[in-house]
Amino acid sequence: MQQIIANAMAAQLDKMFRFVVGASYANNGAPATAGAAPVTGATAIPAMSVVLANSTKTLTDLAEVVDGFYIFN
Amino acid sequence: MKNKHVLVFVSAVWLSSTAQTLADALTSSPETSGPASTNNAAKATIDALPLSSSIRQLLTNQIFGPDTYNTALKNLLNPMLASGNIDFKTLAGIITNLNIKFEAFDTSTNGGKQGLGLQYSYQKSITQTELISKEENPLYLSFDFNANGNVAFNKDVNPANFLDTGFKLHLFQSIGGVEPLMPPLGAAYFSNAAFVSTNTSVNEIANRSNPKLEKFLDDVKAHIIDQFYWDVGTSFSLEANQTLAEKQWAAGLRLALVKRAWNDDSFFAKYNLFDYPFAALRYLSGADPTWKPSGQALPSLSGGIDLVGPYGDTTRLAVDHSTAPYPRLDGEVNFKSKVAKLMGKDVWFSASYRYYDEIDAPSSVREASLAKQEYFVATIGFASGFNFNYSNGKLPFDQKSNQVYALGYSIGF
Repeated sequence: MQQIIANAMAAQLDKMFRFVVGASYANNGAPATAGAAPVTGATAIPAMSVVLANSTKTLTDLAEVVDGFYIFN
Repeated sequence: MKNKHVLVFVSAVWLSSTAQTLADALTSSPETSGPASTNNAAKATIDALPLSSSIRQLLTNQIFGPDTYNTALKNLLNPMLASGNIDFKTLAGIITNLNIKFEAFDTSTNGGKQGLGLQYSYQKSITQTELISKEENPLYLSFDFNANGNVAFNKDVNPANFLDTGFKLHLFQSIGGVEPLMPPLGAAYFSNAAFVSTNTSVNEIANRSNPKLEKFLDDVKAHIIDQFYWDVGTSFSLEANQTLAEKQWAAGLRLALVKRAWNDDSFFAKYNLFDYPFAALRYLSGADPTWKPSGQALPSLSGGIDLVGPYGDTTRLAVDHSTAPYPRLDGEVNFKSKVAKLMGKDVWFSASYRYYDEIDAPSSVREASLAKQEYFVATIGFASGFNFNYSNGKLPFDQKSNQVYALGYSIGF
């Protein structure tokens, strides 16, 4: 259940970044490397969710993850 | 400080300002208490030493206290993770998703024995895709591995002896949350919003006095609406006690619903009756300047129906020899809210109720009290990671109900 709630907040962060901040997915949504999954909410949300579900993580930890998935122009 | 970090931070501050603190608002599931027993042989050795009772008690606390194990684990793993050694990359990837909490506990049954144990949870999204790429509310499909449970150092006194390990294929979608037609505020806006260090712990976001921060919150609030999140899927898991002496598989359908009213002006925030007592506590303790119920403290629900194969459930097989799968309903309700602020740190209350019920169970199973299990746990948690748990009830494989008081400390990687 904890992970589901973290996922819900990660999904909300994803919308915050895209609709409030105006961010776009890194690499125009294409895979970062050959064979990798496309960079979309499907990959960004679970990655953020891992950090958000862990109360000992810092915002820097979250930012490191976000850097890999979003471009903030 | 990277500009991106600032953007992440300000978004997180917005969430925290309405959702209370970020991670704490998330970790609303006070997982089952993880009890364990002290090492009796070592304890007997200490007891035999010619020491005064106070020194003996101090020594016992130092050796068997949860802080000792937390410190040891941190000291062991942190240098490995910081070394950058390629050999540790796999390990780091694994344990990044791992949460461990050591706990000292006291059970009302089992003769009131004290013990030590750990609670763990691990989740890994193996593969995922955007199934319907609707710009506003995309639909996602994900395949996950997950494991969680409680391990006691003395298996005989583990009152929540239940490990759950398995896979889950699920669809999830977040609807609403942000006004979809709003123009983005843009990075230029946020570039001026570097008001606090990004090294701030997600548990420590409490700076509300900065004018820039307040303006940011007001600007964002105008575009925030209620969020509804649903998650439906199918799962397959192995359920066992910690020695794997009792085990069974469970496969079924799962559903989870999460509602969050991020805007204070939302109907669900103003009339969240569940949070009224806690809003009063926050107001009386000075944590909130006004009486303000939270729209993020809405209960979250999950449940499902499983087909359970009791091939290794020896307790059940003793009263019903059939290993044929049987249907089982289960459900869980979670709630969490901030209750006060002590020495500048938030104090949280969380509660979880879990329910398992075998459908149309044989009379022999019902008479042995194996058909239904209920488990309740409430936690008072502090931003430092320290927490106090009370739990009551039993989980599958528990043969009797336990009341457990536990002191714990969370550790993450």
